[in-house]
Amino acid sequence: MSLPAREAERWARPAPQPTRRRAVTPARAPATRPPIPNPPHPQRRTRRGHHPAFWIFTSAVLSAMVVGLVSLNAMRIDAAYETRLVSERVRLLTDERRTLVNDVAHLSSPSRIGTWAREEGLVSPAAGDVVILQVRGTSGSMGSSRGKE
Amino acid sequence: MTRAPAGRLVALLGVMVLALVGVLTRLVVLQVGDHRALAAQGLRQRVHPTDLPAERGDIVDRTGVPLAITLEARDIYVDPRYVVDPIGEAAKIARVLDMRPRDVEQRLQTPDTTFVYLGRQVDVKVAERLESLGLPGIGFLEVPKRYYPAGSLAPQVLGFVGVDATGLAGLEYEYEKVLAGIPGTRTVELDGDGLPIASGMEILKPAIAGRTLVTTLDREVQYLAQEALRRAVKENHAKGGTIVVMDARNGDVYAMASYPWFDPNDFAHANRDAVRNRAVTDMFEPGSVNKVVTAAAALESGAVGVRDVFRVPWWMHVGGYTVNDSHPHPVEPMTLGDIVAHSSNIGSAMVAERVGSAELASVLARFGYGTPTGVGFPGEAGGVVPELLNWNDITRATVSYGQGISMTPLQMAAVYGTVANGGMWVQPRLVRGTTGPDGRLDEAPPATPRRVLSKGTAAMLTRMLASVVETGTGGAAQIPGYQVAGKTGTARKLVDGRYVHRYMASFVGFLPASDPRAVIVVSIDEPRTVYGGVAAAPVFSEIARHVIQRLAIPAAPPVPLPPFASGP
Repeated sequence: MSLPAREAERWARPAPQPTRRRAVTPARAPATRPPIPNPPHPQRRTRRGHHPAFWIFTSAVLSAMVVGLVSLNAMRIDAAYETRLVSERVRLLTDERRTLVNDVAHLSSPSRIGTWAREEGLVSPAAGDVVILQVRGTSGSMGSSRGKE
Repeated sequence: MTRAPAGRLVALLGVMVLALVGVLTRLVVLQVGDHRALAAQGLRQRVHPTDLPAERGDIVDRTGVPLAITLEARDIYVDPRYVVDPIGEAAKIARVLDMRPRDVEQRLQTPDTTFVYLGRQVDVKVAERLESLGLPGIGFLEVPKRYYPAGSLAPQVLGFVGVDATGLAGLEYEYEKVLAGIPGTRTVELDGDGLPIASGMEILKPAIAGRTLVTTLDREVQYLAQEALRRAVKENHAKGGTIVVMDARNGDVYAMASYPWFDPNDFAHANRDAVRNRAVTDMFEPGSVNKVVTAAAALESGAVGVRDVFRVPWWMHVGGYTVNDSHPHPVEPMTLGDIVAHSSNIGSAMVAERVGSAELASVLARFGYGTPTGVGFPGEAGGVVPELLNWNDITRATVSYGQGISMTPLQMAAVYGTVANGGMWVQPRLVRGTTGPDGRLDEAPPATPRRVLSKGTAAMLTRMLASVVETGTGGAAQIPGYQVAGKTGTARKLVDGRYVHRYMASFVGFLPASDPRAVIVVSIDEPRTVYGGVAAAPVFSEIARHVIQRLAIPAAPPVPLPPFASGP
């Protein structure tokens, strides 16, 4: 930590002190020497320069800055928590969707339905029981074309 | 002795400057010299990267119905040090996990360890039930689990994955890179207690999910094929069987069934025989279904005309061996059409003799015998064809009726697909392509078809195959209203280098004959009724009827039958 400039100045230029030589030398008449004016006290001058309004203003600015910074940080943290919560919810919903897709695929599986149908006594129709209707002119009768080229 | 104030100030300043220089020097050493090491050390202390596993892609059928899907599950472990009441806890855990209490108790009391699995890939709801009990020492890990919602549907084709979510068989193995995706990382800053700092650094490199594999399989056709196969194997007291249903025009495989099969959701307990995709990995001697290739070679080479008549006995000597037809008959006049329709081995051998070994071998090679089809399945076999240099008279004769060579059912489907497709060989395929998050299908590039036969030859072969069903050995494959073209096959099996009296019965065909849409291969292993026309042809008919309905195949005008020796 360095000395304030005015303090250093005070140290560098101390107030005149009576010296040994002065003690030996007969004193001159005070009228012949111009009086040295005392330098104004630096602290007193500073104190005089800072108006209370300055302190109020400074305090207000500093307080606002501190409150602002704390609020900003709190908002960032809150946003981070929100983001994580949303991400977690997305993950849960994605998992749920996949589970539902799996359930649909499982429930609509032909093997499951076939097993259920067999248990209920249902059977596939025999070969002759299903007649596939033909549109006229698309197919002829079987065996009628033997030997034709 | 007292110094002057100015001198003291200078000394103090000197001390302070020296101290400042010392501090600055240290700062330079730390900030410049040791900068990298210290920065890295700091990062190690605060920053922790975590691997984010990529979600494995689904496998869906051609209509988009999931056949394999990945869901969340839990691995459940115990740290035996914290277990207070092993017997009481074991009873509770066993009830929830459906295990034997004694087994659980043993795990809870495992000495000298801090981690023992109680269950792997356990359903989330079951794990939550266990977690709600609040038992000490029990922990849970989030893991993915592969589910096959349709159960035992095309299990050998789909394959399965291990506990580490890596494909071990089938399409799961073949398309591992596509399905697995790329793992990501999440790097977070942790405080001294190891908790994330809320406002700290968080770098997320998201995992890239695997792509969805769109197969050519049709769930309904696959199920119907499996059901028909199961019934046929049971009714014929057979050892097993295979069915392939393929689109004649583009090679899309709608169904590929091998019996016996297994449940891929529980593959650990599967029989090893049941895991094999016989349609692709197992070779068999095709028997009479191969006569279509002999006829193709005869027509392509011009060595035999469709009206040429052979006088065919029921047996003859070839190269010191006796070959015969399946039933005794007097010497009969037969055209090529008769030989195919009535499946005469002797007639076929006589045709092959006229064609010659080199031409027959050349046509076999053009059809792809001895070479895998490239369907994109692990372990695909290519079949075995003797080297032409080693051919002799008996080789030529037996090859002409499908003995002494071997192939896979899928190769046979491709051969008949070639005839159905006007002579163009089309590569069979099991995968249509892949879709990403946007759902857009990235179609797999189709292989270039190659011409194997002329259109005229293919058309004549179709007529011959139609005659097999209408007048020959394949009558059981008929479907009212639709003309079917196909061929029966009954091949003796080769066991330990010797032909035994066990047979592979098959029927391969397509429909409608004049505008083929579906090629179907049915192969029954060791049926009690050995003939393909009896054991396999009815199965073909049953599946074909379902396929007609499912794929909405319209009927088409019939093709005329080929010339017969008996005349029209």
